[in-house]
Amino acid sequence: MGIIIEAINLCKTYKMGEISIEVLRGVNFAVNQGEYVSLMGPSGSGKSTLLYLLGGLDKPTSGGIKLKGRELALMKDKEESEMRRREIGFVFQFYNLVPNLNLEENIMLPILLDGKKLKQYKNRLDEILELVGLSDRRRHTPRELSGGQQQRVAIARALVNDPDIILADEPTGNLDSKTGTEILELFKRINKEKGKTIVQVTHSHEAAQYGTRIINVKDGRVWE
Amino acid sequence: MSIIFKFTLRNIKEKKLRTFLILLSIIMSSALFFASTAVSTTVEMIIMEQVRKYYGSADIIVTAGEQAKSWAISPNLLDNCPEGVKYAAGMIHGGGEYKEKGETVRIGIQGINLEDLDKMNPIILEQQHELIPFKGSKAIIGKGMAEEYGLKPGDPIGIYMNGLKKWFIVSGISQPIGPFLEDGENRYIVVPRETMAGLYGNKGKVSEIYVGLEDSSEQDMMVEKLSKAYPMYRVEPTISKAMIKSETQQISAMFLVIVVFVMILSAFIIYTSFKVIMAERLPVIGTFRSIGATKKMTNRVLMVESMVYGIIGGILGDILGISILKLMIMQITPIWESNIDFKAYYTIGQLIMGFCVGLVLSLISSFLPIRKVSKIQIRDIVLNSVEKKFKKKRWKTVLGILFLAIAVVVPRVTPDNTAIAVGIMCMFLLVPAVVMLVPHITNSFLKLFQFIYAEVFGNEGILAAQNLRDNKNNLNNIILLGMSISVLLMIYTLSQSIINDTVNYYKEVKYDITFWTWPANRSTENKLLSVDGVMDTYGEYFKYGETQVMGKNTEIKSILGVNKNKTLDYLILDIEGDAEKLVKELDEGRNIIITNIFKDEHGIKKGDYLKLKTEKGVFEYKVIGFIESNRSEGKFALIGERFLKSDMSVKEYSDIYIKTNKDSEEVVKNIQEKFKNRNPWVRSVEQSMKENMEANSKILGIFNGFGIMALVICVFGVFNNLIISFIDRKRSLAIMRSVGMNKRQTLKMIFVEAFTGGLIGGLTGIIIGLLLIMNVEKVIEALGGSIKEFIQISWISLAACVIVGIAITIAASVGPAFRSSKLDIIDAIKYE
Repeated sequence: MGIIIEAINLCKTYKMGEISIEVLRGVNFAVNQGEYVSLMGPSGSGKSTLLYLLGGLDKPTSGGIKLKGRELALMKDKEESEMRRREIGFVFQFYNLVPNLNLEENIMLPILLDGKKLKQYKNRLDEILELVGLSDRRRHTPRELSGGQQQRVAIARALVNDPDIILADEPTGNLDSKTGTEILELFKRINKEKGKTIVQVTHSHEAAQYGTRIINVKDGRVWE
Repeated sequence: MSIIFKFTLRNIKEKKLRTFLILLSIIMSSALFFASTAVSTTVEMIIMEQVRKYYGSADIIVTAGEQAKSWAISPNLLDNCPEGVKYAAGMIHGGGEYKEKGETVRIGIQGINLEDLDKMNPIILEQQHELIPFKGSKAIIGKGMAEEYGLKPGDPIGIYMNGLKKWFIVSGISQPIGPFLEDGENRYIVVPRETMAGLYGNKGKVSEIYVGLEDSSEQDMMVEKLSKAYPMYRVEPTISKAMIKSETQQISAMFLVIVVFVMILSAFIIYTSFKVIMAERLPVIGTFRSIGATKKMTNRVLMVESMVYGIIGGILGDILGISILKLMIMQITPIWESNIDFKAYYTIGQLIMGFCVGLVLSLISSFLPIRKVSKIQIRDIVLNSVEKKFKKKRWKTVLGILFLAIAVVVPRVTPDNTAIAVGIMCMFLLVPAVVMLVPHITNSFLKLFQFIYAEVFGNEGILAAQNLRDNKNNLNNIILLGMSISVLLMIYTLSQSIINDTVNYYKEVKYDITFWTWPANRSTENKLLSVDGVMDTYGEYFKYGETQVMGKNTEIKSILGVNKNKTLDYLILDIEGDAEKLVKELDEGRNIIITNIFKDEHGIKKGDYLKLKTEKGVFEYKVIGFIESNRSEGKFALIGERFLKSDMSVKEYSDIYIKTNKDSEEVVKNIQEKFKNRNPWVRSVEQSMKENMEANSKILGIFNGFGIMALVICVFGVFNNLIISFIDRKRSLAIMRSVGMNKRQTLKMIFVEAFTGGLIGGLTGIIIGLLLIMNVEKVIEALGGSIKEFIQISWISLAACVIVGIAITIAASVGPAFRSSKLDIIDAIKYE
């Protein structure tokens, strides 16, 4: 199994007025294909920032990231967006569903953005809805779903374009423990059955244990 | 509380765009309201000022009665006049011609004592020469005449009276006030009363006595009182102030209909702005409430904020309103008088009303959002668990359909006597109907567009259509666009229809030139026939002025004397039935053709007799037919020419129509040359059309201006909504970016959304506009107007509605679109 994600001497500094805050200070690590990695650390440790940098949602101050061997920094907006559509699936703590779109439409968003015909992906949608257990809710809007159900929709959306990488930012942070466990079980299944590489950010030891590997993040540095 | 007030004031200052938008809406509404109400006062004052040229401050005029052998009456007739009479000034009115610089000018001559003139119509002398005692051949002239003809005090001035030249000495030159007010048409001179009486062979007598009252509002009562006291004399009001008031109020009413639409738009913008203000303030309101502020306290603070907007907007609205009023007067003025610089007149009451409109509009529009927030539990505010559900309320749909049905159906089944009020009310009813139905209209359009867009704009088109579904800001934009575009479409269509109607009228006329001079009679007509290019002429006898219809408690305001051989060859008369046969019948006896409006108003049938009271007595006319015309508000009739001359003492032609066999413009010049000594009024049909169109376009310009102001408010509203929409949707846009939407796709999606919003807004505007026009047609019909082929809706104007809608939303989207493409994704999605 080859390296699918590689962080090379990654630094990120935020400026708040006159003050500079170094969130990441030269982070180096690699994730192999098919791994389920938990980035674990306390609040403000820089773990979410690291995840967003890996997904191309933010730019590093210095250093680089390689996704499937391609340097993110060299990509233009169009290529980077294409990478996010096809190679990465994001799952956020607050689900981040588009409120005025129904469940189906939210899930099919990456397909739409990829310029594909929705009709051709009908079976894929059914399959994913089956996987996340929401086949009977396809016309509901996010407002009509519970937190756990919304997170399942977010996972379904992350999977719909069949990406190799799933990046999850505190996926259980906003859920009760029972629902959180269900979501983590789902991730485990996806990792095992579908062979997806998962990088999840969490501050919970329990959640981190679901991963096959734990990377600790503190004060802008990582270690295992 | 002071902290809360400071917080409110800081918010007003910080949210500059929103503050501007709310203020703009209030300012526009109160300014247009003020200008619309004050325009009637100004027009009334202008008319009164013009009337004063002839009557000064006199309220009543007393002349010799119909049975009197002579026009001359004693100036002391009213010496024992009843209480309430301030003065009674005797005057001899006459006319003459002043010939100078190769032209002949008609001069009105007032023979009056200076003391009486001072009471009735005071003048201010700029120069004088041995004026006192005002006797003999002394004359006072106006400054305008003195300047034009180089006349100085002491100069002789020769006036032709009944063909003889009478000499006067210029003894005074007055400022252009009173009888010397410049109106570009008539010139007056004032001479001693006794001199004038001598010239007319009636020494010691006057032709009329002008009566000024202590209280002008008692005009009608005093006319009745004096009529009874002096039965042998004719006692009439100099001018009916009530009539002027009612006619000028009609002008205001026309503008106010449009102003109400502007006010509705403004209220909508203030309402939506306050909804956003409430949403933003919710956490702070929660905090204040959690630390002990009562609902009343927070509500009061918010209402004070609304009041601040209302007060500032009301004051600025009045200031802007005065400027708009001046502009309106400048536009309207040429319709009556072109050479005079008129002032804008308004009352303190109107200013207060304009201010109150702004204040009340602000308070009412903000009341609902404020009340809604006050009902939210503190717990929900503090925990941010206020439901933001978009509930589709079925009752709103049902009510919307009901309102729409009423607005469409009721004007069609309403009798004519209530049609105006009902028609206007139904026009306003369309507004709530549209607000309630726009979500459905939008969703129906979006369902259709989703399929089309997939092919035209690709998947971004599908996304755009999905995003617009139930999007409140988009719905607000569609309502704003729909309402303002519909008002513009209505005004534009009516304006164009009036212009087209004018063009069509002149295209259909059967003569080439209109001619008028004084006096105009058979010999004038013969002289005209000798002009090169004049092929044929028709001298029209017309009686202007009220003719009492006895037993019907009404009057006919204008009567055309029909010539059986000529009238139909020259004039377009929409006589029902066999026009030629009926016109011949008019000549055969005392027969009359009345308008359909007059027929319907008074339930007159063919064969009925109308008793017309004229100076010569009471004459019975048989109704033989009807004409479709709204001339003189339908109080217009046709009788035989010979009866008009005999029964109504019409001696002169009112106009002479000319057919030419050469180029009309050339013939006009020939006529002017031939009649150069008689100061004729000659216009070719093309010139008349041009002048008419210019006059029309001036007043229509104001209406269009009002419509454009509605659109301006709408444009700012749309800009505001799209900015709010961007703020609301930041998170959704960031989500889309996070799942792979690139910048180009973001831009494309937002512009397709803007295009769609504009398109639906434009289409909604067309739908409402057409419904408004349908109701206006009914109102015009009820007013007695003929709408057959009158209102024409052009495809270009409909296309323009859609283009305007799209242009506004796309222009307003540019800022939010580029901000969206540069969005900080993490910032927007990280926190709930």
